[in-house]
Amino acid sequence: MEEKELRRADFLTSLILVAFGAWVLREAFKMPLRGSYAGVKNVWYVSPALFPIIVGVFIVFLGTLLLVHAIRSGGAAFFVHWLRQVRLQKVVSEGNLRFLAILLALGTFVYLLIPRVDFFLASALFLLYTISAFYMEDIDLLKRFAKFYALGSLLFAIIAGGLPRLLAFLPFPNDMLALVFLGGYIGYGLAQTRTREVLRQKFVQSIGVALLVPFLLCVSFRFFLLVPLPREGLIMEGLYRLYYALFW
Amino acid sequence: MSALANLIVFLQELAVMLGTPFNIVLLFGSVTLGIFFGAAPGLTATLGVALLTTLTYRMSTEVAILALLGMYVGAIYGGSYSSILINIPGTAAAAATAMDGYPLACQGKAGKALGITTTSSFIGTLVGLIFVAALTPLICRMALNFTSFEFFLLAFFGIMISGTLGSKDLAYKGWISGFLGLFLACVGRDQLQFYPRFTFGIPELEGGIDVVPALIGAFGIPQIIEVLRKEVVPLVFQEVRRVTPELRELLRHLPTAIRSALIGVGIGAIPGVGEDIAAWTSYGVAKSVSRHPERYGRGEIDGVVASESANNACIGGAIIPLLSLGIPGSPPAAMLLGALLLHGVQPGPMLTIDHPTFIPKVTAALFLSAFGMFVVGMLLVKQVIKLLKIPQVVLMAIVGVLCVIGSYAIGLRIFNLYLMLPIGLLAYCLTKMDYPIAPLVIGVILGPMADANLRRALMVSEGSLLPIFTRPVALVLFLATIFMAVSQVSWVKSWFRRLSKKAPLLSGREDYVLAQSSRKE
Repeated sequence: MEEKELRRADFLTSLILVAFGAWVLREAFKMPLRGSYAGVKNVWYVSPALFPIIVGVFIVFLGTLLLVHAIRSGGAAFFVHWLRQVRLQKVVSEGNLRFLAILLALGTFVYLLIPRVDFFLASALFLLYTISAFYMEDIDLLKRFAKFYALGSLLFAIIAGGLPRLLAFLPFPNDMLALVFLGGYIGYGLAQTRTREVLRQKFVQSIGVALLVPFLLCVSFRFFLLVPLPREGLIMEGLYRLYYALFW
Repeated sequence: MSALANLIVFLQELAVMLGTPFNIVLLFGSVTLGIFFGAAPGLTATLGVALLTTLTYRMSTEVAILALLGMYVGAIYGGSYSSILINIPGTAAAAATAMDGYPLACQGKAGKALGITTTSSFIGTLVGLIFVAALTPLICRMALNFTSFEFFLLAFFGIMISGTLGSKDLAYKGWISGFLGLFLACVGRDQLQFYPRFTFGIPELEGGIDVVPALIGAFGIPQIIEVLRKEVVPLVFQEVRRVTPELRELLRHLPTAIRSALIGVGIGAIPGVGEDIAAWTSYGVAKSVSRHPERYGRGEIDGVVASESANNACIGGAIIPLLSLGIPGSPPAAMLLGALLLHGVQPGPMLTIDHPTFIPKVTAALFLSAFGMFVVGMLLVKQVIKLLKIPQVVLMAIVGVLCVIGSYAIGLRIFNLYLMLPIGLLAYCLTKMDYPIAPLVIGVILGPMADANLRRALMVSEGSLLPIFTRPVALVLFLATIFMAVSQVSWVKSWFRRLSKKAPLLSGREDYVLAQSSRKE
């Protein structure tokens, strides 16, 4: 960050820090400072509130120092100026779009796919989207892939979360849905890169990595390290059957 | 244990570790992986140790330590590959190496530079190892006299000094980062009265925030975002012909290697101050004492020797406070601490009593790691360089999956993932605003120790703070912490500056050290 941007960020952060420190203090003062808790007689110096109070006081103090420094070095003025000058065009810069695309990948992977879908499929979807969107070095393609992935994730969330009865007749309904999502994404990617040989090659490479890496991880964690995966469904069931057919 | 008994355990442990083929494969595998993690821009030593911790979960403690130290040593050394061959430091620790390593490579001496780097790193690691073996038991013995006040002040001091020295901008940004870490450590039921703090009624938070997922989030997620946010830059490698140990050349530079290694050990022992500062400091010292300072930055071998022996010696330095006091000396050492806790080893003064053979075991693992690094460095350079040609985007996406499975596998809790991501995003935002991450991590690790010891100390003294002033070690730690805070006040800083008006050690290009010295008031 440049000096000006840094001071502007300092101004905003210091306000957040002071508010956060005050909240920590408020919560800490709700903890038992005196009296008796769980049959233990409390004095202030053994209270569970003591350490959070110290932490809160320091956060407020250091936040205030940062605020003073930010104001003295023009951070407040830069911030006000920035608020006046801010344009949608500037906010939707390429860097910010990339950032949002990464957040989409990580957020959907951790909060949407991992708890609901077989680990192989969840990882394959995450890898395919992340690699294909960023490896192409084409911002238009990144936007298109991100939109498709966001839409697919939304539909997945609605069907898997809101309308589970729709797919109740299927074994592993969420995995089936994720499989359709994966197939749809592959089809969309191939269609988007149809006319550009280099990009198509990269997309095919992305598919290879997206399938190979989760396979290696699933096999090594489940069968060698004996660590259960976050969610085991359709693909892991297939792998189990294969494993028992081959080695037992 | 006597020195002789320690030596016997050390030799026995070497024999045991080398006696199993699996261990040898693991050693070379983890060193190679470490070199790759160090060499690949975007991947770091800390991330490598963090991700490997997951895989060592089911191994015995000794084998796990061998693998993790192999990764650590390999990664710190591996950073020099990309510094020398593409002028992009693979890790911050190798940034100083690029100053003279890349000009050497441009002169067609990449093989020579890598040979010198390998040998210097080997020497540096060995010097660090000697200090681990010699000093750790002594400090452990001394620390046995510490009471709760000393432990509280030590934890506090560790956070403050890592915040002060690790911050590129204002020192108190480092302290804020440390206190945010301490806050995260407060979450969960407190150790003494079992009272739920900041749990919001969420049962998964009652046990507190698991250290390993927090560390993986803090070090992994910012790295992924940082690399993917930028446009892909094609890397151009300098050609490497032959890598030789360059022993004769190194003999000429032996004083620099030893001096830099000693600096590295000293800096490594300071909590939270990593290999990068050790490398820059020894580079600066080497330049200031050189008869030909004008040659630095143009392919001076002394510069490469200085930074590489210092950053690898720093590993030993960082392990000393980790084992003896339970305070990590560097970010990868913080991860190592997480791994030790996972394996049921509680580092600290009681280590020599609870696990009397543990320090010789660590030194044996460190020795084998140095040896493995030397062998892999000499024989497999070209293969590692081939691996470096894997696109960063692909690597980062894979690292994303590894972060997730790594955070999950430790406690088998999906909730760990829900915490890892926000902690990672917080760490990313803080990094962008020049807040150091090491104090945050040290805060998370040392928070429970600081909290419990403060209250225990006050319980013994019945609320009196007088023991801080009557106990010598406590007083020294207290005064040092106060001095550190006061030294950041603007008029005190300008007074210090007036006192020490010396010529700068480094040129304008070496902006890292300048950034350290010209911290805004």
